[in-house]
Amino acid sequence: MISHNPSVSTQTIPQQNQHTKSKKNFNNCNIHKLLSKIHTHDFFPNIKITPVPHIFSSLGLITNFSPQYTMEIDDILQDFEQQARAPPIKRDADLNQQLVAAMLNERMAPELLPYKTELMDRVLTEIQQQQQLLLDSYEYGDSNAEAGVISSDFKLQLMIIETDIERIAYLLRLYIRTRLAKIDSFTIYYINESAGEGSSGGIALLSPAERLYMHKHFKILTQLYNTSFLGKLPSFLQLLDDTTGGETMIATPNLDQPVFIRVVCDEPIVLTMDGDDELTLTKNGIYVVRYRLIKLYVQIGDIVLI
Amino acid sequence: MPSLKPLKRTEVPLWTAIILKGQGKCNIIAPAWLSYSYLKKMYDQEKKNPEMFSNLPWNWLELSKILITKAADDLADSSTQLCSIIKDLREIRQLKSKRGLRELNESNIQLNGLSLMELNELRPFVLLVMGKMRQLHDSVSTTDDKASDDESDHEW
Repeated sequence: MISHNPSVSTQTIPQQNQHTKSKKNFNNCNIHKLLSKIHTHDFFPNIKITPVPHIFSSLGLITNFSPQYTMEIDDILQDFEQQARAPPIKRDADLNQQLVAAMLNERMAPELLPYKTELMDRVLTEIQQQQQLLLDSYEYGDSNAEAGVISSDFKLQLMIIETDIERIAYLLRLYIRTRLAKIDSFTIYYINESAGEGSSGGIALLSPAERLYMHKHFKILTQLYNTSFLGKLPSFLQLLDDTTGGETMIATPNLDQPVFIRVVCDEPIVLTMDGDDELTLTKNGIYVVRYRLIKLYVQIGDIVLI
Repeated sequence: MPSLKPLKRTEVPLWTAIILKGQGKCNIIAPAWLSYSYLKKMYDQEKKNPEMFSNLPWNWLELSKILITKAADDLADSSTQLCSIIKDLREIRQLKSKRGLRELNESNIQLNGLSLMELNELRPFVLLVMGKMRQLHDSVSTTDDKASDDESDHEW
């Protein structure tokens, strides 16, 4: 299961193209290829290098090319760098973590949690921006490929951005699919639950798209049931939400299901068990408890499910 | 994302490091805990305190696996050595957590010190058993309430 984004330290290997610099440079690509062959780790710690232009200026797009290039290209590059720096990559880490937490909570909770409208909106717009950026830079790359301006570093940067988008898209998909699976299994329950909420403007349990999906899905399902077998049954057995006879037919999430949790707030939390026992949850502790007891704490974020 | 300069240490997310490493553009500095001596110390600690779990990072199993497969040349100790100590450590911890399962009850359990992967190994079992025990517990207490008549005796 995915979790936080563990960080490790890296040490960048310098590209030692000091002496090749004079000969450059419309086949930058080839030099890079060559260099990457020359660079083996065996002699890496021993060589003395004057660091050359950075491999990356940022996770933005463009490496610092050497000044031999004409002004024109430099201008474009600068433009691009500004564009590339504009998307707040720093904030992304935070966003990413929020998304992971939301996804995990949703995945481990037995019931549907309120839809994270704000978070989703932000993530979706940022993905869109990044994708646009990617498209733009591919265009840029294509039109400049013959001229040899595009180094392999440039491609690498595109690749990294692409990977990042993929990672976030995966989290998003997982989040939404989990929600849909829950909606599917407890359809009638959630139709009743969310009946009055569209207009009231409070924290919505479902997003508009999800609500639409739920109603349509239910309609199709009911139709299928009716045509295939319910129509042939006596009419008092035809109800899908029969509650007579002491047994309800509406499937509801099992809130007593035990869940794995971790406490993230500083204050210890005291839970009262049904046998009048008290259980104190301290920070960073890992426990398995019934979902019903910690439901509220999950919603305010003092406890995360794992 | 900080700017990357040659020979400068920078902290980046793991996946970026793996890509860069794959392209031969960086060396990964292994985290301090991923060394034979440190893990050995942890192992000894685990042996000494049969009740406690030693302090390891939340993702230590996954991280060590990734680093050993993708960046073995950047680690201080040989990967076989590391693999064997990790395996020892894992086994001794598994043993402990399994012993701890004896205390499983229907309402709650505390699992401090276990890492994510180890939790996931336990998860299906623990959830199933706790669910069942909960059911049993509930039926016992409901029968208990109306159980002054001893007809329901055979149910429990």
